[in-house]
Formats: sequence, C-alpha cells, structure tokens
Amino acid sequence: MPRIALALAAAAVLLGRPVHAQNPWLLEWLADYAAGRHAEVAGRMASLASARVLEFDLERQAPAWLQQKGADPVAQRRVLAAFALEAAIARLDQGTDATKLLEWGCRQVRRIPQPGPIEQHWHRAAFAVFAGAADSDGLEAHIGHVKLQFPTEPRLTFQRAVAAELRTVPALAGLRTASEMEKRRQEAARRFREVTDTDASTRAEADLRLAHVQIALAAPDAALEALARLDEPTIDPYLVYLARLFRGLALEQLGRLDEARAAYEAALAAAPGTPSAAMRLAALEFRQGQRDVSDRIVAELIDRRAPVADPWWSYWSADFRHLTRLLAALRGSVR
Amino acid sequence: MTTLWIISLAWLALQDQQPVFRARVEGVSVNVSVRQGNVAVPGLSATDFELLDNGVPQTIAAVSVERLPMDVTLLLDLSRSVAGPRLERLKQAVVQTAALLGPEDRLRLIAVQHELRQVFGFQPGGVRPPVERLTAGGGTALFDGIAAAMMRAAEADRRQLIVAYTDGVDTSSVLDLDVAREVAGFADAVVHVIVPVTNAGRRAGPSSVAGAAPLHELASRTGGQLFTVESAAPITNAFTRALEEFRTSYVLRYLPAGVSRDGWHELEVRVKGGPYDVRARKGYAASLLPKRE
Repeated sequence: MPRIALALAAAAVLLGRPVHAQNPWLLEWLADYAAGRHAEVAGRMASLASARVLEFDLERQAPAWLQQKGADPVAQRRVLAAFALEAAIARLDQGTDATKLLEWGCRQVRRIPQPGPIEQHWHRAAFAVFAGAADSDGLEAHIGHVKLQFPTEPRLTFQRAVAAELRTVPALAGLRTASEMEKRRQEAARRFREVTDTDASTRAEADLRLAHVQIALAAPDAALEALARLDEPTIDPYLVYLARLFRGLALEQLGRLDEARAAYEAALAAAPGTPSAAMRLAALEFRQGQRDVSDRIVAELIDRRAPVADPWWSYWSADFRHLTRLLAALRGSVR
Repeated sequence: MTTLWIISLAWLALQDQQPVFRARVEGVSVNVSVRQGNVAVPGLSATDFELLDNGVPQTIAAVSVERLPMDVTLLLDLSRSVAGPRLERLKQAVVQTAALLGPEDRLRLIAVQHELRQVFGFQPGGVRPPVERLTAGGGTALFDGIAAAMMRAAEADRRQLIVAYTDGVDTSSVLDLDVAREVAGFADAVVHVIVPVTNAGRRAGPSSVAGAAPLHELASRTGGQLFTVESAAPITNAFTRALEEFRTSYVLRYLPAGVSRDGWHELEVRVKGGPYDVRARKGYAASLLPKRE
C-alpha cells in the first residue's frame, strides 16, 4: 500500500472512522423507507452491526440520495432524518453511538430552509429518543439546536429540566460525590419549577417530576406540595399512578406510614398489580412486622407469568413513553 | 446473619425477665464467618467468642458449625447486558451450584430484570434445575430483587442464603439502598453479591468498582460479602466460594440481655486468638418503624 494510503487509513482509524462503507444496501433501504415500508425497514435495522458505521455511510451516501433525479430535496432530506432517527431507536443499545445518529439526523433537519410542523415533530421524537438513551448531554445539545430553529417550542423548558434530571439517575450515585448529586438535584428542581411557572402543556408532568426530585432531596413536604397541584381527573393514567406512588414515598419520609400505605394502595387501585407500588407496600409491611403480608405480596409479584407494565420503569426515560405515537406521526409525514 | 429462631417455651418461661423483641423474636442467632486468609477456622466453641449487642456483652447459649439444611436463593441479573456467552456461563453455574447442594438443601432462582420473576421455586439440591428457560433482556432492579428475596418467608429450621449475581448497576428499582438496608435489618438471610471484573480490576458492567459500593454495603450488613469473579472465568467458582463461606460459618445463639427492647441493635463479634477475619451481620432491627397491629 502506498505510504499516503497507509497514512489516510491510520488517520481514519485514529479518528475512529471506518475506512470503507459497510452498508452497501443503504440507498435501497432509504428508497424502501421513502416508499412507506417504514416498519419493514425498521425491522431490518435491528440487524445493523454498528450505529457509528451507519452514520459514516449515511454521511457518505447522502449526496447521492439528495441529488436523485426528479426528487424533491426537502422530502429527500426528511427521509434521511427520519431514517437516522429510526436507526438510532433500533440500536439504542449502542448508547452515544446511537444518539450521534440522532445528531446527524438533526443536522439534516436544520438544513431544511423553511422548517414546519414536520421538522418540529422530528425534534420532539428526538427528545424522546435522547431521553430513552439517558443521554443528558445529547439532549441538552439538541435543545440548543431546536431553540435556533423553533425559538418558541413550548417543550424546550421541560426538556431542559428532563436533561438535568437525567444527571441525577441513582445509578450515578456511586460514581459522584453526595454533594455533587445534591447540586444536580437542586438544579433539576430549579428547572422543573421554571416549567411549572411557564408552560401549561407540561406543567402536570413537571410537578410530578419536581416531587420526585424533592423526595431525592429529602424534602417530602415540598414533594407533597408539588403533588397537591396535580388535578387527577385531568391528567393521564401514567401520571396518576406515579403521583400516588410518589405520594407514598414522601409520606414514608415523613413517617406518616398509614397514609403512605393508603397511597400505595391507591396507586395499586389505579393500576392493579403494578410492581413498584406493590414492592414499596411489601417493604413497608415487612418493616412493620407484617411478614405474612409482605411474603404474600412478593410471592404474587415473582410468581406472576403475565407481565404488568409499570409506569415506574419508563419514568427516567421521560418522553420515550410517547415514542410510538411520535414515530407513527413522523412516518406519516415522510410517506 | 441474624436468624430469629424459636426457642422452646420452657426455656422462655425461665427467661421471662429477658426482653422479647417482636412476636417472632425470642432469641437471636448470628451467622459468623471466621477465616484465616482463605481458610475457615475450625473447632471454635462458645468461649472463643465475644458477642456485644449494643455494646453489652451477651451470654452465648449455643454455637455450632451449622448442620441445619440450607435454603439458597440465586438472584441473577438477567438484564440485556448479560445476553450471549455470559448467560450461557450463568446457566452452567446454576446447574453446578445445584449439584453442590445436599438433598436436604434447597435451591430456587429469581431472575432480576426490570421486573422480578421466580424461574423455579425451591427444589432439592442435586436436582438439575430447569435453566433452559433463562433469557436476558431489559433493565436491572437489583435492590428490589435482593429485598424481595429477603422478604420471603423463611422456615425456622433452615438457614437462608441469598447469592446475587450482577454485572451492572441498578437501573429500575423502586426501593433505594436505605430501604433495602432496613429490610436487611429485619431479615434472616445472609446476602453474598458476585460481580464480574476485568483484568484491570474494573467491573465488566457499565460501571466501575465504585458503582458496586452500595451492594458491598448491603451484603456486609447481612454478614455477607462482595465476591469478584474474573469476567471470562467460570462463574461457578464464585458461587462455590459463597456457598463454602456460608457452610463453614458458625451460628451463635443468645437471648439478648441488658439491652433495650426497640430499635436498631448494633452487633459486634470478636474471636479470641487470631488474628482472624471475622464477618457477621452489623446488627438487627427489633423495631425501626412503629409496628402495625
């Protein structure tokens, strides 16, 4: 190999870039996606070996896709962006490599000269995927990009708060000092308070999340205050369940154990058999000497064969719970 | 470990000036591991031990290298990160662990993902467990899993060991470390936790060794410990060490005297002679929360 080629290959390796494209079928997949075979293409994406290689290939083949004869360049670019978002979802297990695909898609969206509802929708789906990947830095950067294109986007303040909250996930607790975690939680609380002051569309969820942060800050009274602002009949069942669960947590912190038990039972009334409230209830009963009760609750939980979806499982991934709906709308818009 | 064992009514009648903690607590038993290096120290008797309950020396009524049968709960983190060769090694380890148990012992398996699932209930040692149905996926609710295993009812005449394996950090639990720790204060089981490490001494999971600190703390509280296993090595080795540690430990029994009835009881166990590595639970809870009648 000539020296210059070796140097280029070495540079590519050092930059972490593959030397050659590895997804020769990419244009075909893009065409299938543009033809409306979204689910089929998304299914194929599950077999992608590397989100990073795909990003490289997309970058390399995008000009050919955009310059296809007779094609509307805006529509073509929308397909590229939606395709990148779908691929990021398919390979979310690859962490920041997957969210870099989102950033690549975001660059396509930002090149659309007169962005409209379709672009706004893409960004909202991207918020959901960043949160699903627990990529707080990526989410924060994305918020900055959206702000340039849609300065009045109502969900920006809420997403900023979500990004701050993602920096407080309990899994980080062993890796950060207690004072650093405390500062992060204070920042998340501050941002959620901003939401409750400014954006009616996300106020209820912001109050719920503010309550959760306050519990982590050992401020149960403030948590109960935030939860008291929720008007249950007007919010979705996901929020109702979590509000009741968090009320139980706050009441436990206050030592109001009978009320905490009632809150967990209320959560279970809203979503029967849901593991998180059942587990909290079992632990409370066990610590109060009601071993038969806790044993029965745990036995039911672990012996159950039909899974019960638990809103708690998707709590940290915030808007990711809306992804099915967001994706369906996005697919409809790029058809 | 503190097992809350039932002492005969006749003996209790003689001791009625002694504090009686909960309805079930007539005496306390403490599982004590005494080792010199990697070797269990044999042949110790009651006079070799000093046991302090909230700083007050206690009279040890009985000491034994326990002959009671064991109930072993394997708690396996079967989150997505375990998929592939590690899952196969785990299946192998479960089968080999079952083979290490005697016919009087029992083994059950709880899979920990974002939800908890009992893969099989207690079955006698030596019987090949149905591991074929194990699959990996989802998150890890490890604190919930450990607490759930500790909250299961224990038979008074059987020793309880929980061996938890995880390659990651807790992502899905609704119980935090504080609650899991409190549950451990009331529970009967010893909890050993096994985490895989790479050659560099870091966990093979998404977190560093520092991320395992809460698990180490939780295990220590029950008299258990954190075992590490080389990431590519057979996991059975770690399970075997955990079982052997438990099997060769002593059980001290006493009726608490001169201590208050309620609250958290700090335990301290010393062994004369030595130096020995002595491991016992840090204490037990007589009543941390107001009891519900």
